[in-house]
Amino acid sequence: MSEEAQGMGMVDELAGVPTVEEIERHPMDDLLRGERLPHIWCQGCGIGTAVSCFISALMRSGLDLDKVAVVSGIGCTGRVAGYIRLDSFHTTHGRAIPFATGLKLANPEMKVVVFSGDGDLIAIGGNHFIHAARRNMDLTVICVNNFNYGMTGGQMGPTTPTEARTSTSRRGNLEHPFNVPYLAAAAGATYVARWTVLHARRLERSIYKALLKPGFTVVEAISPCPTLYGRWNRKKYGTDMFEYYHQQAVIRHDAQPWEVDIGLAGEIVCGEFVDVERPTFQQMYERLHPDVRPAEDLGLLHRPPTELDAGFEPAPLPPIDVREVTPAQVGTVSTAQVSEAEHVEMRLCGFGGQGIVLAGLIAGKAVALHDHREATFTQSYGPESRGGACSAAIVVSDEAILYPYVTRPNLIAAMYQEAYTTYHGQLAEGGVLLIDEDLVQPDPETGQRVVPVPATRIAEQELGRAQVANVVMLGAIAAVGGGISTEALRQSVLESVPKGTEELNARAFDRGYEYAQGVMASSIAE
Amino acid sequence: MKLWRTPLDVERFRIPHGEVSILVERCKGCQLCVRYCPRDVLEMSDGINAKGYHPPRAKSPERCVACRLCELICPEFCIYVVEVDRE
Ligand code: SF4
Ligand code: SF4
Ligand code: SF4
Repeated sequence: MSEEAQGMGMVDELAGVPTVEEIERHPMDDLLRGERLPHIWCQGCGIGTAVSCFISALMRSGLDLDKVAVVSGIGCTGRVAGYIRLDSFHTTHGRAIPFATGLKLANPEMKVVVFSGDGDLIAIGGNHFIHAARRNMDLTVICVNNFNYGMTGGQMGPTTPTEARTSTSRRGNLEHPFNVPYLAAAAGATYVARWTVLHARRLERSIYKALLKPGFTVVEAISPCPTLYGRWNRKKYGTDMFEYYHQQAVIRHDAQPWEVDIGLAGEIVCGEFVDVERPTFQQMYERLHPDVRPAEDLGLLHRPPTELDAGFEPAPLPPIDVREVTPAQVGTVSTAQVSEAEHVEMRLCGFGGQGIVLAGLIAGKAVALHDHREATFTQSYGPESRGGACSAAIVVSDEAILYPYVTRPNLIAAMYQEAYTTYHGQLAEGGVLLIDEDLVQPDPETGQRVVPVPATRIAEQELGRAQVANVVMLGAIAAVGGGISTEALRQSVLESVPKGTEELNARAFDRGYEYAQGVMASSIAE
Repeated sequence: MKLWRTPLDVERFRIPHGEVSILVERCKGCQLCVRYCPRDVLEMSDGINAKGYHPPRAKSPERCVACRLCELICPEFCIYVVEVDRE
């Protein structure tokens, strides 16, 4: 670490954290598509915990990993298939079980695991679920139940507890939810267990048992969705939801499945509720059709190996890159402001959860409602609620805007390295790049004019709320100029933020403005 | 390890010791590992990773008993524990 870097208070704090050389791979990396990590699930989301319990159980199970397949449907949990380094299937909404059934029938020697969410398995896929249980199809179903539809914005679903608030039941859910263990048991599953993800050890053991038991085996993993369900029900952080499980979960293996409803408050009964033997679909098939040759005998399933297969080795995983937190190596610090031309384009980019889209909306409103000029606002983001790259783009003009998208922005505000990498090449000549200096390391070779502002650090350390980093950035945008007047932008901020936070946001805006002006002034002095 | 009474068979057991490693770039700072480590080994650090989250660090690594709860509970696959001999 350079001396310069050590001078920065924040860098010292990482002492003791292993460096690149010290890092080995995570033991679960063999079964993870490491190149896709960090995954898209929100901070404090429990899906990742359910996956690590599954991987750990699978590693202990002794199953031949070449003969294990994971099938997921749609939704936050539907992403699981994409992160597990096994044969995996990301199927259509609700249809994970039909795909898995086909896979299993054609490859009876395989272990097929369905890993999906409550919305996918119990709502849209509800019928498939009960009929696969009735047939006693040889599948292991891991149902992550977070009580709502996460990916689409926290709507209520058939597992939402009565009276729970969601984005589509603001006064509380007036329906009764499905009790997943009861549903599975009544329909004929041979093994049914429920745990919360806080019971990580027990969840792992139940998955292990379910994997090795023939027939339709179901493990329900109650898991926090702090971003949506939690936010609507006063449990905004993953730790709040875990704490709720800690207080309310009770273990009762002998409970009857019909007794284990989940209410809004009250206990969450966990345990292994069903463990019985019934002939599976496959066993019945073999008994009644002894004359049918297995599909592989007919050469239908596996094509003979070709030359291409010989010597094919999966590419090694790239090493995990641990970045030192150093002050940005800034190329040229901008002194000039963005011109007040009649047509200005700007782009704000970062990752979901930073409030990028909201900041873009605020900027657009400032132009249209307070500056009385023309503006368009477009946004792009992935399907995830937090964590994915996202961007907001604004066009400001004195004349009617014929093309609403930004192509050559005069101003880019980047709050995430990937976003910077994607967009900095678009910057128009003479344009200015605003960056969050702790999160973005600009490329000095480009010679672009850069104004570094530690927006997240200011928000967190000076203002006490990391969430207002986007408003600090808006303040900096006002200082740099870009076709929006400072008063209009400030006004728009105050009108758009939640009631009661106006004062904090005003401070954030002013601090960002002042800081960016300071940066520009100091570079003039040099 | 501090015990409120000495178990009679304490001699027969060897308390394992673990070395905890953290892949900081994957962390999203959810604090679950810190909160649920039964031996209070971890704490949140003030440093940040590329996404601006604070990863944890081991404040008293010598206390780790390699129970691996942190490894299992971390939703981001960023903590793992290797059991080592104390000597
Ligand atoms: S929206 Fe909810 S379920 Fe989806 S990743 Fe975020 S916390 Fe998890
Ligand atoms: S292995 Fe157990 S004792 Fe060690 S750090 Fe993890 S949770 Fe704590
Ligand atoms: S549990 Fe994992 S993601 Fe959460 S703070 Fe600990 S290391 Fe980071």
